[in-house]
Amino acid sequence: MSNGDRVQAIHQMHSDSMLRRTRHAPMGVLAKRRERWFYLLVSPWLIGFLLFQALPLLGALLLSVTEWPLPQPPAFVGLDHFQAMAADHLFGRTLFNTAYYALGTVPAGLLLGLILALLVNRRRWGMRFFRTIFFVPAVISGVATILLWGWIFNPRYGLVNAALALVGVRGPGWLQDEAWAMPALILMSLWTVGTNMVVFVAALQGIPRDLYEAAELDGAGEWPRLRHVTWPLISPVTFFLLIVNLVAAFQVFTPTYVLTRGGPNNATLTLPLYIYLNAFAWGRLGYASALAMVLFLSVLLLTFVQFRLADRWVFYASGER
Amino acid sequence: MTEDTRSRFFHLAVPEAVYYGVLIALAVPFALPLLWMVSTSLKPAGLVYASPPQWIPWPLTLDNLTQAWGLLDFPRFFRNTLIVAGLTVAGSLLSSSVVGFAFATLPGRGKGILFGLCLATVMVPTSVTLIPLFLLFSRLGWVNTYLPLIVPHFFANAFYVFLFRQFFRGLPADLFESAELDGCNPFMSYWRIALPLSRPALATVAVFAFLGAWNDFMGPLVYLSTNETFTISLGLSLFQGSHYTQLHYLMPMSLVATLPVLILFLAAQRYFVQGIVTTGFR
Repeated sequence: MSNGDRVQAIHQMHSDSMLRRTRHAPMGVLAKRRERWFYLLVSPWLIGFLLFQALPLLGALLLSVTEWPLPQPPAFVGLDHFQAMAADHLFGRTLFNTAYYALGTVPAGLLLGLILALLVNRRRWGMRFFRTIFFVPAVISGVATILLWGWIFNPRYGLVNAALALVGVRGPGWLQDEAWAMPALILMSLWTVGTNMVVFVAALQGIPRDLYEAAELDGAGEWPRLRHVTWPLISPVTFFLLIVNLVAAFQVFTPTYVLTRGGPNNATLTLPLYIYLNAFAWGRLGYASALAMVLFLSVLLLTFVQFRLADRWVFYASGER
Repeated sequence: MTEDTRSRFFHLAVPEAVYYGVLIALAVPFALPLLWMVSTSLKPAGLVYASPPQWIPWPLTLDNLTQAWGLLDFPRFFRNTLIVAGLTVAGSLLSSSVVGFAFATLPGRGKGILFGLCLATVMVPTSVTLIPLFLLFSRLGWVNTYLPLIVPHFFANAFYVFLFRQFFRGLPADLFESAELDGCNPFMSYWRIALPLSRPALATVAVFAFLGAWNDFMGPLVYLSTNETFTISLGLSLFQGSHYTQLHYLMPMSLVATLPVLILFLAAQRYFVQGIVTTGFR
């Protein structure tokens, strides 16, 4: 008996014993036992979800309708905080800045990520090297590289303006200039686009090769193949990245906190930073929570809109998901 | 231009050189900042501010590096960061893998809804739950300890759960069925069969979790208040606040803070990328 036969035989025995079992013991008992295991093994997530996500979300909702000057007990103030927002010119500014940042980073980030993925996803010499070069910045991005970029954007000693000087352009003040601070942060974020690239590469590698061969036999050139084979097949991943990047853009905090503290003249004051400052620098927990609800609802609304729009461009091969 | 001539154009007229030229042109802005950081860290302070910038660090010196090292308590920051990152990795691996296993292999009423809910939590920005969580953790007396940074990671993370679920779904289902018929309960088949097979997924999540903890800023900023407890990222920002103009110290410090993750990534890269591919964002 060869090894393969033996494996076959064992499998046969197992499926036989399974059949016998289903005949004798009703499947219900076994299924119920497995279901109990499901709930047991899922419980770490479920408990964490209730404790660290659902409960705090409810807490934020409650806090948003209270005033809580910390030593004193909280007091119910209804929708006062939301009314105060309407009169708060900084709030309008943060909404604008957050939208600016999202519009500047998300579409460009997806496009650049896809272009890089298409470029490095070839069987050619040196592709692993280039993949690493593009991905490393995303991996190491933290306070250290944010400080590095602050230095690169330095108007006098920085690399960017030195490069611009080479072609005879006098560079702007970047992070110190009200008009250029946000574009600088956006450029900085594009430096970490390697995450999108890696996810796109994984998606590209999942496309069956014979689809391309079939398209080629039909006489489809490079662009039609990209348009009619690659694009529809990676559209679910594009959609996934769109949502994830959108949420990430609405969370941007560290670069604005570390480099600009929202300045100059509030040009980089984003909603998460404004929430943080209200809560932890100015002790306005209620107002900060109301802002947090606005942030949450904006993300929810945007995601909902994206899911609605997805029907028009996201393609799911039959049988998937 | 017809479809046909166009494809011929792409195949023949665009030579390899242009292809590599484009790649190199794109790679330069990704690589230069890091090379600049290394170069700046190794040259004398006077040359850091040279204009036009001097790329080759000459004369080579470690002065900035050693002086910067003395300015902040780096060994302590490193130790603190390693504690937080190490426990974050352990918690993420244990909890997310077992939850991912349950979602992948076990039946349960409401499983679809639970999984959808799990994925939906990705959409809740951290700053939304930050204030109530801070109040909760301060009530528990956890402020200025590492517990708020570590404990939540022992309760699974949606993204990692998804990764593990995708991976376990790729394993043959009768593997677990036959184990169960041999008397294994689902936890045993998770522990003895699924986990040893899932090295790429484990490596991927471990690297993600480690990087996340190493680079986290908001968490340490909110929960840690005394210098002795600071992590690397918080320590760096502290320095930035007090010595903003001393760029020749800032670069070596950033380099020192970045090197460990860079080395980790390069060492684990193979597993890591393979893990992302096999766990299928497909």
